[in-house]
Amino acid sequence: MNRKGFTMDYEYLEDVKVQELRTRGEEAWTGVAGWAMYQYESCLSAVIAVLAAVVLLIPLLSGGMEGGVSLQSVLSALILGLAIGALMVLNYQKSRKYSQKIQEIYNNTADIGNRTGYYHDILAAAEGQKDLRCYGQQEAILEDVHHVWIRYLKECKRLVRIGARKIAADQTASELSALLVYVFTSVQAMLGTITIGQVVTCSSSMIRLSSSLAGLAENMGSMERIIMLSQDQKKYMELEKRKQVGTIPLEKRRDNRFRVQFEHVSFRYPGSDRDVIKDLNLEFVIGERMALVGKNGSGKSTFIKLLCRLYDVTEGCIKVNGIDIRKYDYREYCNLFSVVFQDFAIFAIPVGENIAASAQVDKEKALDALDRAGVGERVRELPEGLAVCVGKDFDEAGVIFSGGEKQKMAIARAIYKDAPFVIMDEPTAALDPQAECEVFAGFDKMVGSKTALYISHRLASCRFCQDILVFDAGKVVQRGSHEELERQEGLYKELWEAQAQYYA
Amino acid sequence: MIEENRVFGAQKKQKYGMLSNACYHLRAEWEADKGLVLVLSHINLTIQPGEKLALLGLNGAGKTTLVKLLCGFYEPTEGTVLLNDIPVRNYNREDYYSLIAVLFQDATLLPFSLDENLTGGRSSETDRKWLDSALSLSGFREKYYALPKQGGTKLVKEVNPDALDFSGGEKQKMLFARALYKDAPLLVLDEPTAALDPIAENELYQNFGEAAKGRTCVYI
Repeated sequence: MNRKGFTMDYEYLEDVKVQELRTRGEEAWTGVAGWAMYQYESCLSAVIAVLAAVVLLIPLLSGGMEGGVSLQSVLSALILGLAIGALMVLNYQKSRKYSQKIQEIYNNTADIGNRTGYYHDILAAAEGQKDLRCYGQQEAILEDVHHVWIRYLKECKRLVRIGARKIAADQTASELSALLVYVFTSVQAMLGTITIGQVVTCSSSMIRLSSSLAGLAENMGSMERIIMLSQDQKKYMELEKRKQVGTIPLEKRRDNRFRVQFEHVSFRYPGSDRDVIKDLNLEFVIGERMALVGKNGSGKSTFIKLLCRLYDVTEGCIKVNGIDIRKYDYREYCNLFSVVFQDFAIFAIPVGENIAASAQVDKEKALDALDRAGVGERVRELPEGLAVCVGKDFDEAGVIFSGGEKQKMAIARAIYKDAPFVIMDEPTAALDPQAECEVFAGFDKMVGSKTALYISHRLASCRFCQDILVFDAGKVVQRGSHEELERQEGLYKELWEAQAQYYA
Repeated sequence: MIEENRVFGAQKKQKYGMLSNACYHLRAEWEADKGLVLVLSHINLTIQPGEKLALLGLNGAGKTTLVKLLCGFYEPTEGTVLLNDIPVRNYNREDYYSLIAVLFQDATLLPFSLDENLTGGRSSETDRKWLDSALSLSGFREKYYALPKQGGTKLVKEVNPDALDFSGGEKQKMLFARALYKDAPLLVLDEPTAALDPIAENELYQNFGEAAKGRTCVYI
């Protein structure tokens, strides 16, 4: 399931329903596997018991028929057969209903897992707890958990009641059928079809037969429940890749000259009724550096996600070197980009592995990347160097790095990948001005002839770029170099002056 | 680290009004638990009530640690943190926290409605006027009233399927509104404009004077 999680379309990750499927699927799996085995076992033993009983009964009954087949005996045998048959069918129905009711309860309580899981995550990490204490959120959380537990308890009680009722009904049914069997055999003995001695063997075999059949019916009902439980997991695994799968390999160009075109691109997030990007037409000049600026929510990060093909456009198309990106092999296409997102993830694994994004680390290359990002010295100082774990989650000897240092590591990771397209979404937000300067200086050297895209609110850093795109409400309203844009009256000038006034 | 079973002094914190005479003395030296990494060394600092203090420095210089000491999250290894000449740890913990409103870089949002997150209480107890002023000072007002359910919007998409997500900048404004609503005498802001565009940043600065009036403020 984890592998599926890693490879599925990105948009599913942001879909709550899908995540719920996954949680339920995982939970079910732990209980289902063992239970299914048990059911198979009991099924098998029930079948064997039935066969044994039949084998015993036939000679008994036919032997008793020496005296001639009397209508009465046949009739009574039939009635018995029907009665037991009816009870069995009833049993099966009950079992199915029971399974359905359980599934219903299960569905009702599925969201509880999400909620308590969320709280658990807050409590498990130190970071979230500062706010918790400061704003006194503890009480609110406890109250919510209390309500949730009450609801859960109610459903549990309901479950137990249903279960108890079922057991009572089952017992009654089995006792009833046993009674019928005894009546039948006694009648047969009275009629003389079988001897008194055979009454015991006969009745015990019949009871065995009917209870095994009843057990079999119950097993089938439970199997249905197992199937129902596995549905969640099945649905999760079968989630289709909504995106088209392309197969064209990307041209490999050593000069890194890739031309990107956005043609009438519009996009809205799944489930949203608002276009985040509207009718965007854009062409990148090759091998240059571009900056994206604009107010919050104007579509800059979305633009990047579309470019990296984390989402597919809702209208229009994006072309690289004249070919629609959906036609390219997805993996190869992803290899074109080195990205540092705003919410980058540095995992609690050794630094080297974080940088290389793999267990195989080219030490020289990694250290070089770290140096260029400005955090090389810090890593070299540590005794384990590249092998030190980030954070103490998995290794007591791990080191806690500051937010700024982690950001530099994310940048180093992008440098290590050495892809032709470098994209940075606010790469220096958590860095102090000096560090920022260092990073950009090293950047110039690193980017070289590659195409680079920056998003930054610190407009000063955008001056490094030859081309600046100004976004507003999903459209590009201005484009040009810093000098050009400063002269024009427009959003850029507004943004620039709003910031520059404090540095004067 | 603060020991959970430490008994805070029976001395209950004085009423809010007394804070106007607050002085903070910080003589602290803090060592991380592993190794002997000195994070802060012999800090002597007094913060007068109503003072606005800015902390600048390189990454890893110890700014956030200082702030954490101030909030009472950590105990200094040497020296003391005092409020009104009384060591912080002598105060009742909840009362001490009620004096501080924070805006850290990693914030905790609860899967309740927006109003409940902003005010930290039941929606029936919200002081509407006060909330409105907090919203306008933080710059979140526009977005707030543009939402279809306004204050009733649920947060945290993982738990509430009908919840809304906010962009980085919007979230930051929201958290600032939360800090302002609390109306605490000490305001601690850790890079409150990191995710804001220049115009929004400018707005915040303009409103800052008004927002921080009469309060002591520590700003990273």
